[in-house]
Amino acid sequence: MDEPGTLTAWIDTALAKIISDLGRARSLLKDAMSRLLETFTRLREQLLQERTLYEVTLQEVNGTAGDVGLVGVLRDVLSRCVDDMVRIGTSSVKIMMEVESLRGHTSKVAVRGQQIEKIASTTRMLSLNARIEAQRIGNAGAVFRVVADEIKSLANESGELSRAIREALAVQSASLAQTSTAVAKLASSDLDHAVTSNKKLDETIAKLAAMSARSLDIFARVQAETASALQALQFEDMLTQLLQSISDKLEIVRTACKAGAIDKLAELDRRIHRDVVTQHSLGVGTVELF
Amino acid sequence: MIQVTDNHDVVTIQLTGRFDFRVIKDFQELLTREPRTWVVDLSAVDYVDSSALGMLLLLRDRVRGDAQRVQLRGVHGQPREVLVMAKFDRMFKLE
Repeated sequence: MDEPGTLTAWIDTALAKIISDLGRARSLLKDAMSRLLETFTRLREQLLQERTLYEVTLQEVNGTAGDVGLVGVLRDVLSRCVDDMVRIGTSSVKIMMEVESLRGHTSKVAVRGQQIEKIASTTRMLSLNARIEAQRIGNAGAVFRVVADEIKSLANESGELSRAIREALAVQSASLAQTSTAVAKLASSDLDHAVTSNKKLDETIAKLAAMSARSLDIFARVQAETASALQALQFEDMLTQLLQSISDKLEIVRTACKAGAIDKLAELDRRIHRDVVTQHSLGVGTVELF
Repeated sequence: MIQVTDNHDVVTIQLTGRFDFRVIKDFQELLTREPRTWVVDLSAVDYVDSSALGMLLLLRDRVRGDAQRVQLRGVHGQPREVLVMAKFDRMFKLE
Protein backbone atom coordinates (compact mmCIF):
# COMPACT_ATOMS: atom_id res chain seq x y z
CA MET A 1 0.00 0.00 0.00
CA ASP A 2 1.26 3.53 -0.85
CA GLU A 3 2.07 5.99 1.98
CA PRO A 4 -0.83 8.52 1.41
CA GLY A 5 -3.28 5.60 1.26
CA THR A 6 -1.99 4.22 4.58
CA LEU A 7 -2.24 7.64 6.21
CA THR A 8 -5.77 8.17 4.90
CA ALA A 9 -6.82 4.76 6.23
CA TRP A 10 -5.25 5.50 9.63
CA ILE A 11 -6.94 8.95 9.83
CA ASP A 12 -10.27 7.37 8.88
CA THR A 13 -9.95 4.72 11.61
CA ALA A 14 -8.87 7.33 14.18
CA LEU A 15 -11.76 9.59 13.27
CA ALA A 16 -14.19 6.68 13.50
CA LYS A 17 -12.87 5.94 17.01
CA ILE A 18 -13.11 9.61 18.07
CA ILE A 19 -16.65 9.82 16.70
CA SER A 20 -17.56 6.65 18.61
CA ASP A 21 -16.03 8.08 21.83
CA LEU A 22 -17.92 11.30 21.33
CA GLY A 23 -21.12 9.26 20.96
CA ARG A 24 -20.41 7.52 24.27
CA ALA A 25 -19.56 10.84 25.92
CA ARG A 26 -22.85 12.27 24.66
CA SER A 27 -24.76 9.28 25.97
CA LEU A 28 -23.04 9.43 29.41
CA LEU A 29 -23.57 13.16 29.61
CA LYS A 30 -27.24 12.82 28.74
CA ASP A 31 -27.69 10.15 31.39
CA ALA A 32 -25.82 12.11 34.10
CA MET A 33 -27.63 15.33 33.27
CA SER A 34 -30.97 13.56 33.29
CA ARG A 35 -30.29 12.14 36.76
CA LEU A 36 -29.10 15.50 38.05
CA LEU A 37 -32.19 17.16 36.65
CA GLU A 38 -34.42 14.60 38.40
CA THR A 39 -32.53 15.02 41.68
CA PHE A 40 -32.68 18.80 41.63
CA THR A 41 -36.35 18.76 40.64
CA ARG A 42 -37.12 16.50 43.63
CA LEU A 43 -34.95 18.71 45.84
CA ARG A 44 -36.90 21.78 44.73
CA GLU A 45 -40.24 20.03 45.50
CA GLN A 46 -39.00 18.88 48.93
CA LEU A 47 -37.73 22.37 49.71
CA LEU A 48 -41.15 23.77 48.82
CA GLN A 49 -42.86 21.22 51.09
CA GLU A 50 -40.35 21.91 53.86
CA ARG A 51 -40.88 25.64 53.61
CA THR A 52 -44.68 25.25 53.62
CA LEU A 53 -44.48 23.02 56.73
CA TYR A 54 -42.14 25.49 58.41
CA GLU A 55 -44.47 28.40 57.66
CA VAL A 56 -47.48 26.46 58.98
CA THR A 57 -45.53 25.64 62.17
CA LEU A 58 -44.58 29.30 62.55
CA GLN A 59 -48.23 30.29 62.17
CA GLU A 60 -49.19 27.71 64.82
CA VAL A 61 -46.64 29.24 67.19
CA ASN A 62 -47.08 32.94 66.42
CA GLY A 63 -50.73 32.87 65.41
CA THR A 64 -52.57 34.51 62.54
CA ALA A 65 -55.30 37.12 62.18
CA GLY A 66 -57.96 34.69 63.39
CA ASP A 67 -55.89 32.59 65.77
CA VAL A 68 -53.73 33.67 68.73
CA GLY A 69 -51.30 30.75 68.31
CA LEU A 70 -49.21 29.02 70.98
CA VAL A 71 -47.54 32.27 72.05
CA GLY A 72 -50.93 33.93 72.49
CA VAL A 73 -52.24 30.96 74.50
CA LEU A 74 -49.19 31.05 76.79
CA ARG A 75 -49.58 34.80 77.31
CA ASP A 76 -53.26 34.31 78.05
CA VAL A 77 -52.55 31.52 80.58
CA LEU A 78 -49.91 33.66 82.30
CA SER A 79 -52.22 36.68 82.35
CA ARG A 80 -55.10 34.61 83.80
CA CYS A 81 -52.74 33.16 86.40
CA VAL A 82 -51.68 36.67 87.48
CA ASP A 83 -55.32 37.85 87.48
CA ASP A 84 -56.24 34.90 89.72
CA MET A 85 -53.35 35.63 92.09
CA VAL A 86 -54.45 39.28 92.35
CA ARG A 87 -58.06 38.21 92.89
CA ILE A 88 -57.03 35.76 95.62
CA GLY A 89 -54.79 38.46 97.14
CA THR A 90 -57.66 40.96 97.20
CA SER A 91 -60.17 38.50 98.67
CA SER A 92 -57.64 37.36 101.27
CA VAL A 93 -56.95 40.97 102.29
CA LYS A 94 -60.69 41.50 102.71
CA ILE A 95 -60.95 38.30 104.81
CA MET A 96 -57.98 39.39 106.94
CA MET A 97 -59.60 42.75 107.54
CA GLU A 98 -62.88 41.04 108.52
CA VAL A 99 -60.97 38.69 110.85
CA GLU A 100 -59.22 41.68 112.42
CA SER A 101 -62.63 43.33 112.96
CA LEU A 102 -63.91 40.13 114.57
CA ARG A 103 -60.86 39.98 116.82
CA GLY A 104 -61.54 43.57 117.85
CA HIS A 105 -65.17 42.75 118.65
CA THR A 106 -64.09 39.64 120.59
CA SER A 107 -61.72 41.74 122.71
CA LYS A 108 -64.51 44.22 123.45
CA VAL A 109 -66.88 41.40 124.46
CA ALA A 110 -64.13 39.93 126.68
CA VAL A 111 -63.76 43.32 128.42
CA ARG A 112 -67.54 43.44 128.99
CA GLY A 113 -67.35 39.91 130.43
CA GLN A 114 -64.66 41.03 132.88
CA GLN A 115 -66.91 43.93 133.89
CA ILE A 116 -69.79 41.49 134.49
CA GLU A 117 -67.49 39.30 136.61
CA LYS A 118 -66.53 42.37 138.62
CA ILE A 119 -70.21 43.23 139.15
CA ALA A 120 -70.89 39.64 140.25
CA SER A 121 -68.02 39.83 142.72
CA THR A 122 -69.32 43.12 144.12
CA THR A 123 -72.84 41.65 144.32
CA ARG A 124 -71.46 38.65 146.26
CA MET A 125 -69.81 41.04 148.72
CA LEU A 126 -73.07 42.99 149.09
CA SER A 127 -75.09 39.80 149.69
CA LEU A 128 -72.54 38.72 152.31
CA ASN A 129 -72.89 42.05 154.09
CA ALA A 130 -76.69 41.82 153.91
CA ARG A 131 -76.57 38.31 155.41
CA ILE A 132 -74.36 39.55 158.29
CA GLU A 133 -76.81 42.41 158.92
CA ALA A 134 -79.80 40.04 158.79
CA GLN A 135 -78.07 37.70 161.26
CA ARG A 136 -77.41 40.61 163.58
CA ILE A 137 -81.07 41.66 163.81
CA GLY A 138 -82.15 38.09 164.67
CA ASN A 139 -85.51 36.58 163.74
CA ALA A 140 -86.68 39.81 162.09
CA GLY A 141 -83.88 39.46 159.54
CA ALA A 142 -84.70 35.86 158.52
CA VAL A 143 -86.42 36.95 155.29
CA PHE A 144 -83.51 39.23 154.35
CA ARG A 145 -81.12 36.33 155.01
CA VAL A 146 -82.99 34.22 152.42
CA VAL A 147 -82.93 37.09 149.89
CA ALA A 148 -79.23 37.67 150.55
CA ASP A 149 -78.53 33.95 149.94
CA GLU A 150 -80.50 34.06 146.67
CA ILE A 151 -78.60 37.14 145.51
CA LYS A 152 -75.31 35.44 146.36
CA SER A 153 -76.36 32.36 144.40
CA LEU A 154 -77.34 34.50 141.38
CA ALA A 155 -74.03 36.42 141.60
CA ASN A 156 -72.14 33.09 141.63
CA GLU A 157 -74.05 31.84 138.61
CA SER A 158 -73.50 35.12 136.79
CA GLY A 159 -69.76 35.00 137.60
CA GLU A 160 -69.50 31.38 136.40
CA LEU A 161 -71.33 32.24 133.19
CA SER A 162 -69.03 35.22 132.55
CA ARG A 163 -65.95 33.06 133.12
CA ALA A 164 -67.31 30.44 130.67
CA ILE A 165 -67.96 33.17 128.07
CA ARG A 166 -64.46 34.61 128.64
CA GLU A 167 -62.89 31.17 128.11
CA ALA A 168 -64.96 30.60 124.95
CA LEU A 169 -63.91 34.02 123.67
CA ALA A 170 -60.25 33.16 124.37
CA VAL A 171 -60.62 29.98 122.26
CA GLN A 172 -62.36 31.98 119.51
CA SER A 173 -59.66 34.66 119.63
CA ALA A 174 -56.92 32.02 119.23
CA SER A 175 -58.84 30.47 116.35
CA LEU A 176 -59.20 33.87 114.65
CA ALA A 177 -55.46 34.48 115.08
CA GLN A 178 -54.75 31.14 113.35
CA THR A 179 -57.20 32.03 110.57
CA SER A 180 -55.48 35.39 110.14
CA THR A 181 -52.06 33.69 109.83
CA ALA A 182 -53.38 31.16 107.30
CA VAL A 183 -55.11 33.83 105.20
CA ALA A 184 -51.96 36.01 105.35
CA LYS A 185 -50.06 33.16 103.65
CA LEU A 186 -52.78 32.96 101.00
CA ALA A 187 -52.75 36.72 100.53
CA SER A 188 -49.03 37.07 100.02
CA SER A 189 -48.30 35.20 96.80
CA ASP A 190 -44.93 35.93 95.29
CA LEU A 191 -45.44 37.34 91.77
CA ASP A 192 -41.73 37.32 90.91
CA HIS A 193 -42.03 33.89 89.28
CA ALA A 194 -44.76 35.17 86.96
CA VAL A 195 -42.62 38.23 86.10
CA THR A 196 -39.64 35.95 85.32
CA SER A 197 -41.82 33.64 83.20
CA ASN A 198 -43.15 36.63 81.27
CA LYS A 199 -39.62 37.87 80.59
CA LYS A 200 -38.52 34.39 79.47
CA LEU A 201 -41.51 34.21 77.14
CA ASP A 202 -40.57 37.57 75.60
CA GLU A 203 -36.94 36.44 75.18
CA THR A 204 -38.01 33.14 73.59
CA ILE A 205 -40.35 34.95 71.18
CA ALA A 206 -37.54 37.32 70.17
CA LYS A 207 -35.13 34.38 69.64
CA LEU A 208 -37.78 32.51 67.67
CA ALA A 209 -38.39 35.55 65.45
CA ALA A 210 -34.65 35.91 64.75
CA MET A 211 -34.32 32.17 64.01
CA SER A 212 -37.37 32.28 61.73
CA ALA A 213 -35.99 35.20 59.76
CA ARG A 214 -32.65 33.39 59.39
CA SER A 215 -34.29 30.08 58.41
CA LEU A 216 -36.54 31.76 55.83
CA ASP A 217 -33.49 33.56 54.41
CA ILE A 218 -31.61 30.22 54.14
CA PHE A 219 -34.67 28.61 52.50
CA ALA A 220 -34.85 31.46 49.97
CA ARG A 221 -31.14 31.17 49.17
CA VAL A 222 -31.26 27.36 48.79
CA GLN A 223 -34.33 27.72 46.56
CA ALA A 224 -32.52 30.31 44.42
CA GLU A 225 -29.45 28.05 44.16
CA THR A 226 -31.63 25.08 43.18
CA ALA A 227 -33.44 27.14 40.56
CA SER A 228 -30.07 28.27 39.19
CA ALA A 229 -28.82 24.65 39.08
CA LEU A 230 -32.00 23.55 37.30
CA GLN A 231 -31.59 26.36 34.78
CA ALA A 232 -27.96 25.33 34.18
CA LEU A 233 -28.98 21.69 33.69
CA GLN A 234 -31.38 22.77 30.95
CA PHE A 235 -28.29 23.55 28.81
CA GLU A 236 -27.76 19.80 28.50
CA ASP A 237 -29.60 19.86 25.14
CA MET A 238 -27.22 22.50 23.86
CA LEU A 239 -24.20 20.46 24.97
CA THR A 240 -25.59 17.27 23.37
CA GLN A 241 -26.19 19.14 20.14
CA LEU A 242 -22.69 20.56 20.23
CA LEU A 243 -21.21 17.07 20.71
CA GLN A 244 -23.41 15.76 17.90
CA SER A 245 -22.22 18.64 15.70
CA ILE A 246 -18.57 17.76 16.49
CA SER A 247 -19.27 14.12 15.51
CA ASP A 248 -20.94 15.26 12.27
CA LYS A 249 -18.00 17.52 11.43
CA LEU A 250 -15.58 14.67 12.05
CA GLU A 251 -17.69 12.55 9.68
CA ILE A 252 -17.32 15.36 7.11
CA VAL A 253 -13.53 15.23 7.65
CA ARG A 254 -13.68 11.45 7.13
CA THR A 255 -15.65 12.00 3.89
CA ALA A 256 -13.11 14.64 2.77
CA CYS A 257 -10.29 12.17 3.30
CA LYS A 258 -11.86 9.60 1.02
CA ALA A 259 -10.88 9.38 -2.66
CA GLY A 260 -12.83 11.54 -5.08
CA ALA A 261 -13.97 14.03 -2.47
CA ILE A 262 -11.75 16.81 -3.76
CA ASP A 263 -14.59 18.13 -5.93
CA LYS A 264 -16.92 18.42 -2.96
CA LEU A 265 -14.48 20.34 -0.71
CA ALA A 266 -16.28 23.68 -1.09
CA GLU A 267 -19.58 22.13 0.07
CA LEU A 268 -17.84 20.21 2.89
CA ASP A 269 -16.04 23.40 4.00
CA ARG A 270 -19.37 25.22 4.25
CA ARG A 271 -20.80 22.43 6.41
CA ILE A 272 -17.71 22.37 8.61
CA HIS A 273 -18.02 26.07 9.39
CA ARG A 274 -21.69 26.01 10.20
CA ASP A 275 -22.25 26.43 13.99
CA VAL A 276 -25.36 24.82 15.44
CA VAL A 277 -24.66 26.36 18.88
CA THR A 278 -23.41 29.94 19.23
CA GLN A 279 -23.26 29.80 23.07
CA HIS A 280 -19.89 30.32 24.81
CA SER A 281 -21.28 30.39 28.38
CA LEU A 282 -24.55 29.66 30.28
CA GLY A 283 -25.73 33.16 29.44
CA VAL A 284 -27.85 34.18 26.47
CA GLY A 285 -27.20 32.44 23.16
CA THR A 286 -28.92 30.71 20.26
CA VAL A 287 -29.36 27.06 19.36
CA GLU A 288 -30.01 26.00 15.80
CA LEU A 289 -32.94 23.65 15.99
CA PHE A 290 -32.85 20.66 13.70
CA MET B 1 -43.09 50.43 107.48
CA ILE B 2 -45.88 52.87 106.73
CA GLN B 3 -46.15 56.61 107.29
CA VAL B 4 -49.34 58.57 106.66
CA THR B 5 -49.82 62.28 106.00
CA ASP B 6 -53.43 63.44 106.00
CA ASN B 7 -54.39 66.95 104.98
CA HIS B 8 -58.08 66.02 104.48
CA ASP B 9 -58.01 66.57 100.73
CA VAL B 10 -55.03 64.31 100.12
CA VAL B 11 -53.88 61.33 102.13
CA THR B 12 -50.29 60.39 101.36
CA ILE B 13 -49.17 56.87 102.29
CA GLN B 14 -45.42 56.44 102.35
CA LEU B 15 -44.17 52.88 102.47
CA THR B 16 -40.66 51.58 103.05
CA GLY B 17 -39.09 48.19 102.22
CA ARG B 18 -41.58 45.40 101.57
CA PHE B 19 -45.19 46.27 100.78
CA ASP B 20 -46.99 43.08 101.89
CA PHE B 21 -49.65 41.64 104.24
CA ARG B 22 -47.93 43.13 107.31
CA VAL B 23 -49.48 46.55 106.62
CA ILE B 24 -53.05 45.25 106.19
CA LYS B 25 -54.13 46.59 109.63
CA ASP B 26 -52.80 50.05 108.74
CA PHE B 27 -54.65 49.97 105.44
CA GLN B 28 -57.82 48.85 107.19
CA GLU B 29 -57.66 51.96 109.34
CA LEU B 30 -56.87 54.12 106.28
CA LEU B 31 -59.91 52.82 104.40
CA THR B 32 -62.17 54.50 106.95
CA ARG B 33 -60.98 57.91 105.70
CA GLU B 34 -62.54 59.75 102.77
CA PRO B 35 -60.03 62.06 101.13
CA ARG B 36 -60.39 63.51 97.64
CA THR B 37 -57.13 61.88 96.52
CA TRP B 38 -54.92 59.05 97.70
CA VAL B 39 -51.19 59.20 97.00
CA VAL B 40 -49.24 55.99 97.55
CA ASP B 41 -45.52 56.69 97.55
CA LEU B 42 -43.59 53.57 96.55
CA SER B 43 -40.22 55.22 95.95
CA ALA B 44 -38.73 53.42 98.99
CA VAL B 45 -40.47 50.09 98.27
CA ASP B 46 -38.40 47.30 96.73
CA TYR B 47 -40.92 44.43 96.87
CA VAL B 48 -44.66 43.98 96.48
CA ASP B 49 -46.70 40.78 96.74
CA SER B 50 -50.26 39.92 95.73
CA SER B 51 -51.69 41.26 99.00
CA ALA B 52 -50.19 44.69 98.19
CA LEU B 53 -52.02 44.62 94.86
CA GLY B 54 -55.18 43.62 96.74
CA MET B 55 -54.82 46.60 99.12
CA LEU B 56 -54.34 48.96 96.17
CA LEU B 57 -57.48 47.57 94.52
CA LEU B 58 -59.42 48.17 97.76
CA LEU B 59 -58.22 51.79 97.73
CA ARG B 60 -59.43 52.03 94.14
CA ASP B 61 -62.82 50.58 95.14
CA ARG B 62 -62.96 53.26 97.83
CA VAL B 63 -62.95 55.96 95.11
CA ARG B 64 -65.29 53.92 92.88
CA GLY B 65 -62.56 53.12 90.35
CA ASP B 66 -61.61 56.72 89.60
CA ALA B 67 -57.98 56.24 88.47
CA GLN B 68 -57.22 59.94 88.90
CA ARG B 69 -57.95 59.74 92.61
CA VAL B 70 -55.34 57.08 93.39
CA GLN B 71 -51.81 58.00 92.38
CA LEU B 72 -48.90 55.60 92.68
CA ARG B 73 -45.65 57.54 92.91
CA GLY B 74 -41.99 56.51 92.61
CA VAL B 75 -42.82 53.08 91.15
CA HIS B 76 -39.61 51.33 90.13
CA GLY B 77 -37.82 47.94 89.99
CA GLN B 78 -39.72 44.82 91.05
CA PRO B 79 -42.87 46.77 92.08
CA ARG B 80 -43.06 48.34 88.59
CA GLU B 81 -42.58 44.97 86.84
CA VAL B 82 -45.30 43.35 88.97
CA LEU B 83 -47.74 46.26 88.63
CA VAL B 84 -47.30 46.45 84.85
CA MET B 85 -47.68 42.68 84.45
CA ALA B 86 -50.90 42.79 86.52
CA LYS B 87 -52.07 45.63 84.19
CA PHE B 88 -52.26 48.10 87.09
CA ASP B 89 -50.80 50.76 84.80
CA ARG B 90 -54.24 50.77 83.12
CA MET B 91 -56.14 51.04 86.41
CA PHE B 92 -54.01 53.57 88.30
CA LYS B 93 -52.08 56.71 87.61
CA LEU B 94 -48.51 55.42 87.72
CA GLU B 95 -45.78 58.02 88.19
